[in-house]
Amino acid sequence: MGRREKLTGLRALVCAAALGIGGAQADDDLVIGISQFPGNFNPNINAMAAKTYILNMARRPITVFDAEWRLICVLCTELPSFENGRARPETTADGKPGMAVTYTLKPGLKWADGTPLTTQDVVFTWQVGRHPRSGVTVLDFYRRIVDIDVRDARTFTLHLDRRTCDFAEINELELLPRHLERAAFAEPAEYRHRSLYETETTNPGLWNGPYRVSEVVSGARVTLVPNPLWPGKKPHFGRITVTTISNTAAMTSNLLAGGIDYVAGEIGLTLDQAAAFRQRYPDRFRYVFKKSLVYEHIDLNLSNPILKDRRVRQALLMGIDRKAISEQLFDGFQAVAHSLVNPLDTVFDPDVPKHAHDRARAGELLDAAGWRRAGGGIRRDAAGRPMRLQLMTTAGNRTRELVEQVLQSQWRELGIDVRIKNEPARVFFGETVTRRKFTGLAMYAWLSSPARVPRGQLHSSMIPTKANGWSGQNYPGFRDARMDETLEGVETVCEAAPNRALWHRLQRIYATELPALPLYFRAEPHIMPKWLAGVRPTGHQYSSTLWVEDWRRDPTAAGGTPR
Amino acid sequence: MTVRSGTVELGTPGQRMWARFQRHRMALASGAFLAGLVVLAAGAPALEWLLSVDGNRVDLYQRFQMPSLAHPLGTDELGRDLLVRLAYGGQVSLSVALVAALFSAVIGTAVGLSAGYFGGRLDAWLMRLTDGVIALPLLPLLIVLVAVDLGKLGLPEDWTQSADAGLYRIIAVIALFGWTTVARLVRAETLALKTRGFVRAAEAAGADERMIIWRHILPNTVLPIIVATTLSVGNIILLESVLSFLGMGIQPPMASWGNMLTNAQDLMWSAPQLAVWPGAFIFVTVIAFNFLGDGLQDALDPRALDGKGDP
Amino acid sequence: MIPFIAGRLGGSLAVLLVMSFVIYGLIGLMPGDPIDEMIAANPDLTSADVARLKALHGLDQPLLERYGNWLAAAAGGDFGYSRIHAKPVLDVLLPHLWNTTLLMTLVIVLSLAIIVFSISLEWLPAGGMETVGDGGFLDRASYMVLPVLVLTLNTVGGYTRFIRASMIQTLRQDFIRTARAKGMSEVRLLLGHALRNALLPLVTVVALSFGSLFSGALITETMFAWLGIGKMIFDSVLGNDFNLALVGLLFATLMTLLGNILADAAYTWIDPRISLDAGVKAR
Repeated sequence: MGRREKLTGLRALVCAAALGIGGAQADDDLVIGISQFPGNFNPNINAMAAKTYILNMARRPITVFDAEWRLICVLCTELPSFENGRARPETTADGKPGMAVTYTLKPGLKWADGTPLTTQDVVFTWQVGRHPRSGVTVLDFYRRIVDIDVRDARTFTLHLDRRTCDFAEINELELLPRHLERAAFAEPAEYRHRSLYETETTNPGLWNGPYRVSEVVSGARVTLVPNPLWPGKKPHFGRITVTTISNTAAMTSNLLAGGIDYVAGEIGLTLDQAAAFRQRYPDRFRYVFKKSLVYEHIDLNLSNPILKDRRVRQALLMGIDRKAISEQLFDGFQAVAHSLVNPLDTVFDPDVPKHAHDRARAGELLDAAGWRRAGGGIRRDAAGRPMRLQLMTTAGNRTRELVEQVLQSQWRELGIDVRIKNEPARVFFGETVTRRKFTGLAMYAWLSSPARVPRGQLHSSMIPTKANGWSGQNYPGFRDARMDETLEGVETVCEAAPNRALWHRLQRIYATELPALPLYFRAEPHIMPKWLAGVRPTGHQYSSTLWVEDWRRDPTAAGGTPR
Repeated sequence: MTVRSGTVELGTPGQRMWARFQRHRMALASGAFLAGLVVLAAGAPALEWLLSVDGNRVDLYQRFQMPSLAHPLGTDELGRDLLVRLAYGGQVSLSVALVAALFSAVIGTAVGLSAGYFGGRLDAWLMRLTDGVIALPLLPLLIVLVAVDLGKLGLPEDWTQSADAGLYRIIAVIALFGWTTVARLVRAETLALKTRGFVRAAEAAGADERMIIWRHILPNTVLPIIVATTLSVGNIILLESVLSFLGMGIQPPMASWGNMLTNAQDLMWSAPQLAVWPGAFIFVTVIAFNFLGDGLQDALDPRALDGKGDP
Repeated sequence: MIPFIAGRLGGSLAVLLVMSFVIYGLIGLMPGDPIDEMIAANPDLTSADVARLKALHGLDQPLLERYGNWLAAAAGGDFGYSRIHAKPVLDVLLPHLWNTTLLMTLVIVLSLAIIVFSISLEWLPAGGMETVGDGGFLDRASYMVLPVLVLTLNTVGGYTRFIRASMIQTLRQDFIRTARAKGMSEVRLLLGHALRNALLPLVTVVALSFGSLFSGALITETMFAWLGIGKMIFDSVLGNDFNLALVGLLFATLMTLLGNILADAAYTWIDPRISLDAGVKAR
């Protein structure tokens, strides 16, 4: 402790040294390094990985996907289903098929200031969430709840305006403490500034998880201490500090010096940085590379005459050696993707068509499509036009820039002239991709949740155009009647077996038609000390910190197995 | 002007300058070194042929090779020959640095001379313009410029998609924003020179304004210009990589020393040679330019032959 | 001198006004918005959400109207909320500003101290410093040592070369030879006479770095995770955080302008013959 005090003194001396990195000496302290600092703290406004990561220690959702990607109850007693009678179909006021789902909160839930957490908080959250001026990021979730019946202090029924298979999932319902936030919401348009989450982040009443936020040093760190009123399992660590270090080199040197204990996989280093670090210090830390839902792919603009031909799209995919890229650039930790559904997902189809690297076959397909090669140069069509495509991605993303150079080189060997043009992320996403201004190939990734129906990405009504106000995320411009029909089926046919069959069909159409080239699913690299036990990385947007109460110091766990 | 009469006349002024330059050994060595770099950069295709490698061809199974006969400096993180990449990178870095530095020097000198010499309202306007440019936030401007579709400006698509377009864009951006330091330095010198006896004398003798600026003021402002310009070379080489990082500049797989260094930053531990080589090239180039600047100062300063007073 | 400075301050205000418009326009003209980036990464977000969120931040209004509103509020002392930080602008700006000012003041003072020190020792190192820092912390308590070191090395290199160049020039002038011939000591000669005349370019360069006191050093700040204003401005510009970016940038602009006014005033102190107000007079 003496050392810590001395450090504090020194820190006061160089007082502006706001980058406070507490030492990890005390036995019950844990210091986690992440690469970003949350911009704000209200859980409903601005989804941001760094914020979710921290807040998940101090707040809990009603339902969530666990580390095995199954939907579970966290604050509720059991998930609604047709079998247990908590879910039943009904008709909405305007005569459309709707549903009613009933949840019961676990007994003894309290905000950390002692106020009980009740259905009143659920109703208040819903009122904030559906208000168009409150600034909530994804309104659709709250909007589909047309009414709430309060049965008692713990039981409530949601009336939904649609009948889809994901009815039990209310992960996005981020509970707000009515007793504290009501005043801030009096003026809804000002709520995002006046919310106590922003003005008084350390107020215990804002938190209902095993920890509560005890200190925020803007831009530098957030400190959490146990919440004694948490009714669940008592957490092991007496204090958790989440420190933000945005520079990779600074992050790793702090890890080596002991300034931080654990680099979070959700939002820490990139995979190749972590892999390089692991090669250098293979035994000092425990490395966990968890396959994640982040789907890295290349959208093909199907309006481009060259890319309209399915044979060309297949040839493009067969012309690149994704396995070698994964093995050589990412130490094999990033699995090759064959469609947009992750192999860990319950609806994954193991028999989805796979396009392994086969340059000869790719060449034949291109020949058949009319792109012929004279002497080893660039392929040309009958009219003599060269086979030239533009490949775009976000500038400054080193990993993507590496991959695109590999792809460019491999396609060049196939006789395809691919030119790279990268743009800053905001231009790329703000104009180029979302308004379909890319002429050929656009490489990027998205993070989805398990078993999420990709209607917005694949349905023909979701192609962004000027006429529809650029809405929808079907950037390739994919139109396929079978796909439209399958998407509608997947959303509404909920019995397990037929639903699974539809999911498999969806993946097969996707992997055959190839509106996009699947590259790989990213992996989250966790670098943790050998004594840290109980961390279960999830690989999806619901971070491992949702189970922080299971984390503990276990000196005997030192020999933990990598991977 | 007593100095000139004391000088031994040796051939043309050019020869005299050369003679003065030669006395500066470090400058001479630096000049030779930079010439060597230019030869290396220009000879990149020949080097490729000689080593029978392709500077852009990726080989995933040849990453991080140690130096060998086939790859004198080893290979980079994508299995490409490091020496060939350095040579090609030199083309970009050296040309951007030289051209952009020269352009900024010319613009800055012109602005500084006119503001300092003519003074008054012109000075006020030019200096407020300079203040504005200094204060202009480069980042949003660059992002706006990235989004400008050069094709819409009537330039042929083949050209806008080619690697050269990015190069010219970088040079233009740096030259347009880099001149402010030189402008303020030259203006300050000019303000002081204007009051000196020999300028007053020339004015009194009815010399033409252009003549006064060209003959009397400009030669005496050359020192800070050279220092500022040679100092800026290193900054420009690094600025190029920042601009390319923003997507505003050269695109992969084109190499420059700056982006080779930036990309190697994460690999400092696992493959330090990837950072060391471009880093060393930038470092030595910057030093060489500065020595060359010293030599140029002496060569261009007629009084230097006196040799006195060099501390 | 006072009318000169007053006049210049007035001019500076005009520049500031123009710059506020230019900056506002530039940020507004940047294609895309962080909200657009969100839509590509989050399949849950619909374009209706995007439109609603943009309207919430006033982004659906015409640029000129938004600028007008901002200017009116700012003139009344209301700088609004930072969009990224969901806090009043000054609450975000001031801590960052303090960090940066602390760092940069130390750098400039240290650089100048090194220069003066080395001149009195008649020891002028050749310049051209380039430092490639990798960000390792030597000691936890010494957060400042490395960033200050990196920035100082960089600055000293530049300052030194400017001093050297003008010293060489000055030392060749007749009045120095006269002084020397009269037997004045070298140190007094250097510090008393030569240095003062060699100060012109140094003052110019130092004045220019005065602005950077308040605009920060982006790369060094990022490298050493220093919470300075350079990174803050960078993030706020990229995040379309108009309120924060404008106040940050305008403050830096103001400081650059003040720095240059001070430099001009210093010129006349260094060389009393310099006159700033008058143009070219009779020929």
